[in-house]
Amino acid sequence: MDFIITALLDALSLTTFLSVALGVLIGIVIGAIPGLNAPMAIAVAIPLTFTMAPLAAIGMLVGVMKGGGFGGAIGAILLNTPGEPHSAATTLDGHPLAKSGKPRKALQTALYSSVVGDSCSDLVLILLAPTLAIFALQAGPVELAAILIISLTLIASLSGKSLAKGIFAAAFGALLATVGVDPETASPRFTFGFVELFDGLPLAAVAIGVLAVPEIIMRLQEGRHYRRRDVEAVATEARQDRLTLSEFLALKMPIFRGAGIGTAIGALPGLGTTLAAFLSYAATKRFSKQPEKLGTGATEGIAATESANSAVSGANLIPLLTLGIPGNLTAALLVGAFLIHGVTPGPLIFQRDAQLIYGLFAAMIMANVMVLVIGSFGLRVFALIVKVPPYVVYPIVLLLCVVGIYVSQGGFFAVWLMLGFAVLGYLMVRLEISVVCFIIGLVLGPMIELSIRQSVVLLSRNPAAIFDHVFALVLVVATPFVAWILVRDRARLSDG
Amino acid sequence: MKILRTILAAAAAFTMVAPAYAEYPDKPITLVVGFRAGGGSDTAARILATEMESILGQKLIVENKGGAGGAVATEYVRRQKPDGYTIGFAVATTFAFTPLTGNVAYTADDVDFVATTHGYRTVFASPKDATFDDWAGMIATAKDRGWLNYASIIPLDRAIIKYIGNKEGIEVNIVPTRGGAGARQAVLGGHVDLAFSGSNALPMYEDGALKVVAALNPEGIAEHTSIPTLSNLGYDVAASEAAVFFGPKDMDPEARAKLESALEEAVKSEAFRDFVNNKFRGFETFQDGAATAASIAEDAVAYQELLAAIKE
Repeated sequence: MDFIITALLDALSLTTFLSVALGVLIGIVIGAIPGLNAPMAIAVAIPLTFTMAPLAAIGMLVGVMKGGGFGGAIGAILLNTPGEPHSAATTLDGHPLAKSGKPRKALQTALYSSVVGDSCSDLVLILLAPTLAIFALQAGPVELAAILIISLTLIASLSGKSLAKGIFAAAFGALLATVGVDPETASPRFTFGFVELFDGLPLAAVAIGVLAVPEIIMRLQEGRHYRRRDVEAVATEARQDRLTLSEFLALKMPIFRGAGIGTAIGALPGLGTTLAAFLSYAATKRFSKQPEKLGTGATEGIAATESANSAVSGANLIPLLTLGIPGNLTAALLVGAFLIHGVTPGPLIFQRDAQLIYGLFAAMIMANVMVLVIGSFGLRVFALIVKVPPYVVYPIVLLLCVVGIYVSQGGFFAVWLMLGFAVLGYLMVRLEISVVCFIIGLVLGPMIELSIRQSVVLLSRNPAAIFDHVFALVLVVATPFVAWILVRDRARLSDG
Repeated sequence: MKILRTILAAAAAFTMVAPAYAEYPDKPITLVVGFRAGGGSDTAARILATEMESILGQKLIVENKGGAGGAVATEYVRRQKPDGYTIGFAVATTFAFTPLTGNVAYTADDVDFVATTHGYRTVFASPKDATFDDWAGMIATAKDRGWLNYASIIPLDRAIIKYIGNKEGIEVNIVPTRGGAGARQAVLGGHVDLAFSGSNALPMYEDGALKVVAALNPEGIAEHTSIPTLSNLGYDVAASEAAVFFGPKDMDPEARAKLESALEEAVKSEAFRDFVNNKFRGFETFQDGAATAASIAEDAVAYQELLAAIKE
């Protein structure tokens, strides 16, 4: 018990407090800037921590991670320019709501859902990390393949008006995801001799290219018809532009569902935030009393995605701390930082570095409170962006996207790719092909490919071993039923 | 102090009227790191860059061009001016092994080597619940069953395990994984019998979370003499991995020599030695440019033989 109290005192020291606060601030600001994102914020912050005390350093990076999670929602909601694939889920309802004159309400929903989701998953981490890590390890390639297949079936319900176009977009995304070195034979596929493509298309460049840049182009096209009156209309509505307590309480289901989905997916290494965000959104759509409202600016949609993707970040630390397995890019950067500060992830971390780990837990809770406080002030400032004429905001946003990709992906190659994919994204929007489905295909494609190919190799000499994987079998058997229910729902919706 | 020094240096640079015999380095040097920011390789490079700044009295700008195990950075650096103001950081296999795969356009002869700064250690790990405790037990189990599930990370470890499989008459089911994390997950969860791993398996081994049955680097694991190397076990193969600084072909000899001696001094710094030994868990070794080129050429011959042996 002693060390827990010492750890709490460490965490409550002024240095730790200030470094966590600084981390949260860096995270929110960098995350909010279009073209930049949370992993980049961490990469920027790591060298800053080299000379700091371990707890202050790690607390600051965790602050950056949490701040970046909420910051990402700001660009997505206000400008429809997500910086990471998972933020694309937040744009679905966040941007329509902001556009209808309620930017603050949209940001408040995102902030509160994000903090609740994050706190829930931190609690699970603190109470159950070692147990959960052992449980999560049971999930091998076969289980991951089954989880991915059933998830993709659920997410298919987000394909928009035309199911065929949605499937086409997802398949196209999955096809582009095959670019890079083949995981099994190590021979390059579709790389056309570019070494830069050996590790696959740089995801941030493609995501910002298809999601954010076409939006910028379209806003600028509209810019010619921009009138002063629109802003004034927004201003008069500002009084109703806030989330009331009763409205927030009504969101408890999507928030807790999102937190649950996010925590589960975060604890399983190798699945990631994008899956959690879209899965939570799809589930909320399925169970919503007004599913037709989703996609038009429903707070439910924002709450579902933001609680889920924030929950991933806390739960991601479970495999990271106890097994040294990072669940996503942000976590991978954190492993490096932990190493620099002498924290070696491993099953005995709670004994070896107990004081530091409990200090980290305290710092995480502190960071959640700070995201809430700094975020509440910040969103008032950020919400003013909608009052600035688009012909001022969007050229700046475009410049930031170019600079952000140049810096984070290391050069002009990624910038040209981003611009190329912007053309593709623009065409897709004009042809009403779901860009979101394309991104889901692109992100989940390689995971599904790898886990299925791993499963095949693992079972190749002993196919009967498939019966040891009961959980996976149940999911595989359930998949057609889930598909059937979703098709039925769809028919019912289009009738009604 | 540092800021003051930088300001003074900047002021001095402005007041000097372009001396005809400007001594290298008279402007910032760009260090292109072939790995993404935040990892163990990147951190080592950044620590060395900081040390070199104070030795050379010039700023080093670290730029990350990760991808394809250092090949992306190599392709970039070899096309830069060989004036010593753009140098690269990659690993020995980037030059000794990757060109043999036929997927890249460069060879070790297309760059100039500056120095080797530290070595990497790699091992074969098994789940803690495995029925065997050592290499011999693993081979016996696999022979008994006829096959072995193995998690691979890079083409080199795949070639080595194929070679061993051929020699022992075991069919190796090679499970591809992406990066070290996937392989570690597979071995910790007991989904495979054997996995390739970097030195981050050592703390896990000390915690009892997995078994380490052999070391792939020829030097072995100094603090755990019970772990045999592949040559101890009677195989004439190994994976030599080391951090390598390089520059474009035909680099300015004066610049190359200065960088070489700066690195020789930088590796002696306390911060770097602590990182390599206690955090990165690699090993200390310094080789100058000529020795680096020679050992890479030697490795390349060995890998060529290895690839030829598994082709048959």
